[in-house]
Amino acid sequence: MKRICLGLIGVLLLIYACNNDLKTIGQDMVVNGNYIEEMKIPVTSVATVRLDSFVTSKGRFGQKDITKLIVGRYEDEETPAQGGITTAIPCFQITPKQYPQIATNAVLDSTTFHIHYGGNMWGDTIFDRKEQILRLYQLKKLPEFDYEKGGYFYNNTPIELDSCIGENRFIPTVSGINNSYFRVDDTLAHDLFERIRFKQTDDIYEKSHNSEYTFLKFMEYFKGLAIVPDKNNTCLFSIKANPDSLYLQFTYRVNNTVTKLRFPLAQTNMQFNRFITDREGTPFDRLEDDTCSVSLEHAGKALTQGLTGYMVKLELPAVPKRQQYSTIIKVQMEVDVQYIEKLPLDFPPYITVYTTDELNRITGVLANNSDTPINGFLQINETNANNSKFVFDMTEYYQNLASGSSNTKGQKVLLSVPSMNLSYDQLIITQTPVVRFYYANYK
Amino acid sequence: MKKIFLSLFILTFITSYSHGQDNSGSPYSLYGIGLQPENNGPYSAMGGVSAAMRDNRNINFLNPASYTALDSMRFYFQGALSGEITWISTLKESSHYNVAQNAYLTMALRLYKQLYFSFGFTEKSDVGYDILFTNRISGSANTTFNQNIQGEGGLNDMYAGFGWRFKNLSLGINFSYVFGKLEKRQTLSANMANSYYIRTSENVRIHDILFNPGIQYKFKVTPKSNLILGSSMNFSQRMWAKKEFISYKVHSNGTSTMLDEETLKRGYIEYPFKISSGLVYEYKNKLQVAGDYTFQKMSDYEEFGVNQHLQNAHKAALGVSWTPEETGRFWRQRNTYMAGAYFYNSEILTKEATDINTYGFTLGAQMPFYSQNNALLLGVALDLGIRGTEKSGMVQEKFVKLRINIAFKELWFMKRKIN
Repeated sequence: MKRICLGLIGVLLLIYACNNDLKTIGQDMVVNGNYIEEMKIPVTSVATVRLDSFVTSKGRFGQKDITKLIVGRYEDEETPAQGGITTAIPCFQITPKQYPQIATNAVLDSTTFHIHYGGNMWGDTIFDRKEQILRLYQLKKLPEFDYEKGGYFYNNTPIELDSCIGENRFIPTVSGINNSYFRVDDTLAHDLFERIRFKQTDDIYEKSHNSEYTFLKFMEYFKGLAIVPDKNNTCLFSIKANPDSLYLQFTYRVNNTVTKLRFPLAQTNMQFNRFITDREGTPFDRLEDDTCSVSLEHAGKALTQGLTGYMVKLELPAVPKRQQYSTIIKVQMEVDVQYIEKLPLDFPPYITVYTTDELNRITGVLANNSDTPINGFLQINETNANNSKFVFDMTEYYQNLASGSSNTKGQKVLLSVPSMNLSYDQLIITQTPVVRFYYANYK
Repeated sequence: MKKIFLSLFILTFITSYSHGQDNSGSPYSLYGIGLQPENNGPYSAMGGVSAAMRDNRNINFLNPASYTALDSMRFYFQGALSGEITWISTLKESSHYNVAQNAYLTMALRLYKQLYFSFGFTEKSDVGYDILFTNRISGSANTTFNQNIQGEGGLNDMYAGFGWRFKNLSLGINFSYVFGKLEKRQTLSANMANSYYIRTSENVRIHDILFNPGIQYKFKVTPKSNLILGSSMNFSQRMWAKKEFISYKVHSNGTSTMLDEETLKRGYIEYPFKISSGLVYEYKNKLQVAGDYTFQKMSDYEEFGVNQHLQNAHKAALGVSWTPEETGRFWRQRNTYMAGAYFYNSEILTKEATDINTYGFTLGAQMPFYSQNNALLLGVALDLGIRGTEKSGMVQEKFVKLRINIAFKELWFMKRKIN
């Protein structure tokens, strides 16, 4: 009896060891009308517009954090030319760190101006490396804040250059830039040096106690500096905008002891970049102001690029009408690009999307539910790089549209490189972008 | 020992019922109310015959007229559990699954003179399947999506029944409360990063009363042999039902949004007419030969007023049992050895109107254990069968089922004559 009971318990346990795993087959038996489908809708009215004015400074009260400046010149050698010729001129102030004092028997050996590489370079500096020339100019007058424009300086803020006080020639490599310097004009250098050695009645180094600018007198005397690239230069690069990397340096001797005195970058709320883009001969010649546009059909391309203000304007499709029990599961916009590794100009790390209106004004950032901006990221096709694309995930954006009131018109947007004032990255569009809607029909 | 047995059995039954709802893995449970048991009841080792079967060892809940064969002095308790291994194949692929199932739990006793009573819990149907599809997204060159359809649930039957005997005629009726949920779940997901996927659940909840009358008549053919004719049935019955639909959109990061939560329909399902008739030839108390025919008018099956175009079902079963010596000295002489076969035919209305046949062969034994006042009957039944076909995109299932059947009967109603 006991054996029977134990055997029975064993059989019961065996039965319940059945794992109830029900992965069965038989798909062909099921009449299944549910599926996922893709709808591919091209965007409309693709064009290039130009933002003719954008901020390149920190602001009167240092609201923006800008730690680099751009210098150089780049000429697009493609035929036909893409965006034109871009020249970047940084403008800034230098002052003593503290009230300068040196012995009266000090002898000035040399005065140099130094810059340091900021980490970004655009142009072919590997296969076709050429010597670059930069010239240092004094400004004719101190830049003035335009309070009607929020106390900022812009890419098109006019500058008046005084005399050239130095020149720098270097090979565009990191060490080439960092080891190079401008030899400052002797006349100016001695003038500044003597005013330190022998204090004048009108001491330009006297501190101003009633002003937010400690060395206001010096600034009014010196006016500030600008670095202008030579017209034959072939690259743009960033330089560090901090006191340790951008400075005027006096090298002098006192009784055979060599000493250096620096006048570093100062008053950073007055530093800014001037960008000049010569569009002559390009498809975008007629972008006189930011209300103008050049269509993709007319130019054969649409361009977004930093420093130049070029942005791609397009109109997103409206949400397609759907029946009940059909819902969006994914939406993405795809911008095809030709990914060629030898391109002298990089793709941007991502593309920002702004909302805009009929007059091409930026009205906001295209965002999803949690106000996270919608950005496009590059997906490189491993098997065929020329079929790579920027992909913008617009799922939540379109889900919100689908759940709200119906609208038949799509949103106009601008595609832009991020940090337009600090990057010359470029995206060229030659084919109309498409928006792919993925719908699940679930009942 | 008997109490330990009983407790263990009840505990296992309850645990398995509350823990696992997957009692079937057949894609044929997609249709109608699910897969109805083709071989059920205490005589599953005899091909599942039941219409004319009656004895004082088993509670034959499939024909309530059989209750009158039970001992008048005893309280009966009977239950069964089974496990199944099935190999399933189509023309393109094959798989297998294992499931454990609770068959039934019943009790019976005599109420008054010729009136007997039984109550219990049985299974009416099972739904269980898990099918995965992978298809290309319509309109896309090479992106695919997965669709997983799962079914779960089934109908249960809680019954109370009466049997009454007048001479050789027995009549009976079961009042069944049929209830259950037929659930169909779906997951639709695209094979893309950072996309949503859809989960839906469509439930049909059913509950209503079903009546099963039965009749049996025993003829004495010779002094040592009897012939019993029997029949049980249920009329076509509308059962109250409600269909609900819930859907969610879920992101790969786990956040979810409800899309729909609605009651699609309230109405009824038409539970079809079913009749089972058969006969048993008994020789002494050793040999039984039984045959059954069952017909169910599945063509009448409707859900919420819409005919589901199922075809009628037929079953034929044959069974034989042999007890060498009921009061034999040796245990093996007292056992009842059983064998049987059955054939079940239904049809799914696909394009080709495919017959779905089930062929089964059964073997088993019932082993009694007696004490002064009690008797324990341990039954083991093995069911080997083939269901379906690989033609027309259907599936063929080869299954092996093992059922354990335990019955107790205790002497409750005998007055002590000596204190």
